[in-house]
Amino acid sequence: MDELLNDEQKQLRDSAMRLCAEKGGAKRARSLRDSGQELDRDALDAMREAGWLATMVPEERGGLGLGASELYLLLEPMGRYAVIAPLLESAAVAWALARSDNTDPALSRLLDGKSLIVPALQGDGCNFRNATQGFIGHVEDGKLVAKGTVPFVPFAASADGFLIEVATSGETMLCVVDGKAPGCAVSAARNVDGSASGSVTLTNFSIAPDAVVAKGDDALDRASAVADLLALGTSVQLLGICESAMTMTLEHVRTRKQFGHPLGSFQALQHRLVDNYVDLEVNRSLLHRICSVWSDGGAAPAMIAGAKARNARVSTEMLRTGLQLHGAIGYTDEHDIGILWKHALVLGARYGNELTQSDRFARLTMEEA
Amino acid sequence: MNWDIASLFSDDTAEDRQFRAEVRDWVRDNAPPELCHQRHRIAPPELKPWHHKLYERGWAAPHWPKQYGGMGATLMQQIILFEEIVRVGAPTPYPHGLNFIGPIIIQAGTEEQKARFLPGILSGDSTWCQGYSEAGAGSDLASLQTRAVLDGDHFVVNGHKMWTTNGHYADWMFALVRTDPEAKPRHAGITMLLIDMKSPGLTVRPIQTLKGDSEFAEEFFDNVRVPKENMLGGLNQGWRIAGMVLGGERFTTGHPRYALVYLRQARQLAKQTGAWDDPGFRHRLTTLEIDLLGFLAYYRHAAKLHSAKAAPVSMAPVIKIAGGTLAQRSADLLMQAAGAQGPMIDDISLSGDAVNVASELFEMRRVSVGSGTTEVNRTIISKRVLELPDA
Ligand SMILES: Cc1cc2nc3c(=O)[nH]c(=O)nc-3n(C[C@H](O)[C@H](O)[C@H](O)COP(=O)(O)OP(=O)(O)OC[C@H]3O[C@@H](n4cnc5c(N)ncnc54)[C@H](O)[C@@H]3O)c2cc1C
Repeated sequence: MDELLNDEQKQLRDSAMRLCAEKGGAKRARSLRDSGQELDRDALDAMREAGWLATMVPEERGGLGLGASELYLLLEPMGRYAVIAPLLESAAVAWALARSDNTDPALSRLLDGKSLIVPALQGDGCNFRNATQGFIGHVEDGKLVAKGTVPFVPFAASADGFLIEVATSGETMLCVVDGKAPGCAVSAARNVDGSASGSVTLTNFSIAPDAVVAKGDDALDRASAVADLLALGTSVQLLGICESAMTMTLEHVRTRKQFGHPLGSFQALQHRLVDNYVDLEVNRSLLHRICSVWSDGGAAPAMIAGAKARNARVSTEMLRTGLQLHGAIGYTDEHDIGILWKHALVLGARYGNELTQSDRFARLTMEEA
Repeated sequence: MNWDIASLFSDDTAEDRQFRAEVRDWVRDNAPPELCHQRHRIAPPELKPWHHKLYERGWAAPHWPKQYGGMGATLMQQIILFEEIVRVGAPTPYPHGLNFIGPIIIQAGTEEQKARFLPGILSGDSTWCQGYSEAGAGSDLASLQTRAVLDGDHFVVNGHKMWTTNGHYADWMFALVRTDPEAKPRHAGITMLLIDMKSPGLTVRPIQTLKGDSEFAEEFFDNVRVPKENMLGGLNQGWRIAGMVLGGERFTTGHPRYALVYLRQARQLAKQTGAWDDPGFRHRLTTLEIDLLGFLAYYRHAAKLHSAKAAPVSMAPVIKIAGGTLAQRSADLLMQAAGAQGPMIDDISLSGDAVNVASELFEMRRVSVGSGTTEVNRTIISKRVLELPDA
């Protein structure tokens, strides 16, 4: 079931479908992977030119002034066409920057495509929680100096800058920092879909006062909102991958014949696909709903944790059916279903996998009667 | 996160909120305490005074057009009424008259039939039952064989109906009967008759359910004479007529409230029994709560689209499959939370309330069998939505 969209949203969805169809697809994802690139620059540029990075930036700051529901409309086709590019990460950073007054330079660099800035957040729902990791800071000669590591940051190797959270003895700071500055090192590792993520390590890294985007509770709230948005948006991409896998599998079982009949005429297979379909329908409604209340603060973190866990779980199940119903061809690198699977594995694990997020859901709802 | 059915993912408008408050106050003051939170099934005679109260308040048939005594209510108002009645644990009126045959009579009945039958349905003075299923005709309903032969100005009915909810309490049955045994396709030979349950030759035998009560019954028809004017719609039009039920019905039978109540009880009970300390229990609870969250979103989304007349074909079967599965799994988990106490016949006391775990588990069997099984609904999606080929 789709959301009731207004005309502007319909246009946005249609142009997103077109752009992703043109700049995406399994073939392109495969060749990108084989050429060793962790992201599709060309696709990202096209998205930036279309204004997508600024989806959730207010109009007076040069953005589209839209909300998470519109971001949904962009991300779903990205999943569907397996476009590997940090649209979500950029849009989330842009949203966070646009909520401070002193961020014009960083924001325009990001929106003009001069710098790729991605979140490198350590915390609940973002990456594995680990008390020894994350950035800590202290003030030295009146200057903020940070150190520490945040692992598994998607697109870290290509990024020019990071949105980071620095814990100091007094308060937490949300900062936007230059990734090429001395004291910042990135070590990246490739994922099975061709994308990569990296550990960002800061050593004796000095942060200029104008790099501080927010402080205290404001910094904590904004960092959590970014982490939530990343988990939410990744879930939307996962849903897109699943839609694609469903279409591909339906086409296959309608045409492939065995025992004199199309595979799709066997009820055992029909009902299995229906169960996947039902799960996808539920996920779509859940994501629509959370996105529509996100901008007004109506999306409790537990909802997002639940949505990420459920989308990760369902993607595993959908792709299991998809691969199985393709038989041996599904086990080849040549067939596109495998590309979708690998992309789903990566997005499923990113920003908290099924079990991490379901555990987080449990903690967030624990005290309830 | 607030798990309250009324507020989580609410789409209430300002008017809806006002209506909800009004209903909530009225239900609190008027719902008969002896009917609330009952473990046993409230049979039609016991329910009648409550039905009548709702009728007097104008809330028995919110979805009926005003000219027939309804409220002409929006789907949201219907859902609100339902939610606020079940909030206090009170039963809702049986659907067979108000939701099934009532709307069909409104659409397909003659003026005489409307005048004769609608007032009793509305007030609850007459109890109705649905005579569709037979021993040999369940999922494959079109294979039904109870025969009706026209003899002058009467139909003579012979055969056997089964699984008829409230058959032994009913004053009237709306029945699908075979009037043309040669018809192809088979459903082109079926007619809808309104049958007086006191007719000579009609024998009713209650059937005890797993739950221990007699929810349904079977009926034997031995040359039962049904006046011709009790035919609803035309001869051999029964199948089409039966399809005139309003889609809004799904929103009460498919409401997420069972899962919501069971999971809340499972949480509380687990803390009482110690099951809470078991990580396996908590993980399963979490998985189901996440499913509930998703299904609540789907349900609200469906209501919105249905109200905008934009609901897809898949909606009713998805509600049935997702909601039914979730409700059953939630009842299963409640049984796990109860441990060895679970299968005991006595109620378990749970912070002041009583819960009967096994009885709830039995109750939930119905959701995947009654009015179209889960499998039949899967087949509907695979044919009509996924457009998968026939064998
Ligand atoms: C609580 C309750 C109340 C009821 N109230 C009424 C009532 O008031 N009036 C009335 O007329 N009926 C009533 N029914 C009957 C109900 O409509 C039937 O039980 C239902 O249609 C299924 O028919 P069946 O029981 O004969 O099962 P069957 O049709 O024999 O099915 C048995 C199993 O086989 C599966 N199956 C059947 N065909 C297929 C297929 N083609 N592919 C895959 N699987 C298949 C079914 O899904 C089911 O799991 C009630 C039933 C219950 C449980």
